[in-house]
Amino acid sequence: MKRLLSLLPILALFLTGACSGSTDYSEELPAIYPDYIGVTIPAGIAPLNFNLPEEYDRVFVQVTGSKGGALKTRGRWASFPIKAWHKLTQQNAGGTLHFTVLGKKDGRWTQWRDFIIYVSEAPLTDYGITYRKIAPGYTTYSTIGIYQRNIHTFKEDPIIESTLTPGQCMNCHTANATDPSQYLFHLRGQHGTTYIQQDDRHEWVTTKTDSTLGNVAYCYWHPDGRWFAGSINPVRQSFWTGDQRTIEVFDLASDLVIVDTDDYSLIVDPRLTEKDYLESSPAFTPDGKTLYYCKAKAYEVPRYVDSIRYDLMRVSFDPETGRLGEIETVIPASRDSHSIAFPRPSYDGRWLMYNQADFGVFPISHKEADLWLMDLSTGETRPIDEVNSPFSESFHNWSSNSRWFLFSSRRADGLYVQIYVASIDENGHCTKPFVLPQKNPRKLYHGTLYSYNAPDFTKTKVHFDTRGVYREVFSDKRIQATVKP
Amino acid sequence: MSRKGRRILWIVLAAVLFAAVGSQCAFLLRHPYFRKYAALNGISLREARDVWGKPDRDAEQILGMIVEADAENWEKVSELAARKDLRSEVGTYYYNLSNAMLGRLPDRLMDYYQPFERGLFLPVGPSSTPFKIACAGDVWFQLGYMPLAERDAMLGLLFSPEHNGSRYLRRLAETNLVTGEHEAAAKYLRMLLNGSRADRKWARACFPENWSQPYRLRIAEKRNLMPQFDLVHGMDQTPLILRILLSANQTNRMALDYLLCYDLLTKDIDAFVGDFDPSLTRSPLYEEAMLIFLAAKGGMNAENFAHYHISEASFQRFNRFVTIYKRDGGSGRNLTEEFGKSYWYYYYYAVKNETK
Repeated sequence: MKRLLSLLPILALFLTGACSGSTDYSEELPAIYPDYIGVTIPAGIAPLNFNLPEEYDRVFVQVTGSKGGALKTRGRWASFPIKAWHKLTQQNAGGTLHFTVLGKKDGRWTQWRDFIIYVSEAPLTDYGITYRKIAPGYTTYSTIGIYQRNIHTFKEDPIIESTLTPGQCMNCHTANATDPSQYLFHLRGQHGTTYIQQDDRHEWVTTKTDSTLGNVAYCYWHPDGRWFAGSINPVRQSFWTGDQRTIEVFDLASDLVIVDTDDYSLIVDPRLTEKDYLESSPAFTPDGKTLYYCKAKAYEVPRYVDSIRYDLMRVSFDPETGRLGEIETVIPASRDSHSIAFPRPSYDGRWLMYNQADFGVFPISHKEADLWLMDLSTGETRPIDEVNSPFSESFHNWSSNSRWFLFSSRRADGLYVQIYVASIDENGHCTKPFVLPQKNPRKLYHGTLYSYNAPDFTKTKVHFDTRGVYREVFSDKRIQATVKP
Repeated sequence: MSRKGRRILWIVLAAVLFAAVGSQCAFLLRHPYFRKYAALNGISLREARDVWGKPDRDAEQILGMIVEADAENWEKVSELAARKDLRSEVGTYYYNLSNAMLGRLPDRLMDYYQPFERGLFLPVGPSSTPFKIACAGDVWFQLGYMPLAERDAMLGLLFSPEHNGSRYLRRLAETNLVTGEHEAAAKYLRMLLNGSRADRKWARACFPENWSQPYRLRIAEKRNLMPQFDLVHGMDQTPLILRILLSANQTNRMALDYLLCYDLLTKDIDAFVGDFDPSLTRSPLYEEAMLIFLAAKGGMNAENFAHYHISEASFQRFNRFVTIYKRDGGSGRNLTEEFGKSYWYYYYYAVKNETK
């Protein structure tokens, strides 16, 4: 058997040679799907399987590492064995992978120009990513689920699906700096509540009080794990009449509170709950001393929704007392007719990534929405042209070592959102992003009816008692949050 | 087993087989639309019976209206509706849609059960059934309003048993072709290429590079109905959407009739008068509504009658209605036979059942 296996590469080469007699050579790059040409990947990522255009019924690929090792595959699409792929990428961290691709159409082979994929020296040590799957753009009445995906393989597991909690819209799931031992998400709807998991215990908390608008929805953990900041925002969906935009999602009102998980009491600061203003998108810095958020003047909605523009703000925070200090405008984006959303400081404290669109707080439905980067040591900002596209980029988050980030983009077809991953170096240069690898990318991405949104890295696998949740959602047993005096 | 025993066994097996095939044939003969509806949802007859159960005659009639509406056979939809007034929202919805497509919505509106505005637009919300949501976009597509046509098709697809029904994929492809989102349309067309032979043929013809002249015209006509400016609206602003459609294209007669009928079915006479332009459309229904308005506001004169095309016969009939109404102290018992299908009768006696 061993002898037979050792003969396989020779046999493969023979077959390649055999077809070379009738092989056409093209100076063009192969039209692979997804476009992985020139991307930078972490060692140990799931294999970057790809398809040729449908008229090619066979594909042969040879991958050669600049630091050694090689891999071959043949079939209807390029599908690499996981273990061999991991070995090759790990061997070539800091180097390149050289791809030779041949495709067979109407009995003839074509060999295209070779291309390269870069393997970063920066590892991606996280277990995987979590995300919501939802019909594109529709926030309510549809099937929603939260899933986790092992980023080193193709394994996807549901964390919770709305079939278990019918009628309840599941909101963004939030781990503490990618660590799922502290984890929360919010359910909207009749049994609306916030699920908070800390190590082995979990609780259902009603964060709506007599002094606040409702339950917290979009949250961000304080790094020490005692606090989290949350926006309280009744969300509504509207439609655009023309053919340039489709859906607009906006907040009827929006306030920010900070929740103390020691006793589930809320810090309600009048400066973050102003009636004439909307406060949203909170995020603590990794040192825990600053809270970034966005703030806009409120207008009548949906009529004047395109007048709502958010500035980037920050306020100092004392984790000992929970006291908020001076508020400062960091980027007065509204002055230049822009709107900022989702500030996300990197976990090493070096960068702040945020979204910029023409207006509003829901950039996923804005074609013009782009990712921007702020250097927190200098305050300089720039659009991340390396990853932006003519379509919406949104819902970005950092890996636990802050060398990788992911985001959602509609660039594939303008409608369905997919998850992209890119790396950033110490100077803030980002690499060409790659779409989340799939076993058979065309089959999955062309066949899916779901958008992948609100992705985040997760350091380890999320453990979640799905059956227990079903019982508990409908039991309405809740801890009632109070307001700190 | 003896030879005789084997013979009996064969006869029994043949009888069972015959009965099974016969039963299937009888079912198909009785429920031809059930099978077609199942096919539109991408599932087999057997799967459909497992998921939806066995349809009764009323369900078969409604499924027939959906299937024929999907094929845009509006006369056939109307004919099916006429077989029996099912007093159902979906039945009325397709009855109204077929009449609108045949240019006779106001003339036939009062001939049928009208569950207020829910017979014009099926509500889409947390308490809506997937079946109704799947139907709700048909009217929006025909009116030329793609955002809601797309929403309802997408939700219909997600709620359908196998998430691959050609009914929804074709609608999603077409809404995106109309709005010019060809990449998104291609996604659905590619999915249809994995379907039945008819779906494959349809999909191939719909890739923009393969458009025939009639299909190009169809897309252009629908696009011509779309509002050309961006204005944002909420989920429950149906009259506003219809007015936007009209301001975008004054020749959208269907939008005008739907708006006027919406005003009338919600008994909002003031809105009706504001929306009604007698130079654009006319119908006995609108005459009846105007008479209520003019009687209430004191405008019963020849000038108004001429302006609103109110005939002498309508005026006399209205007088008779009012006389009986007053004579009987507001009771409708003597009005039902003669005026049961008038707007006046609907206006005074129709009561909204909020639970339906």
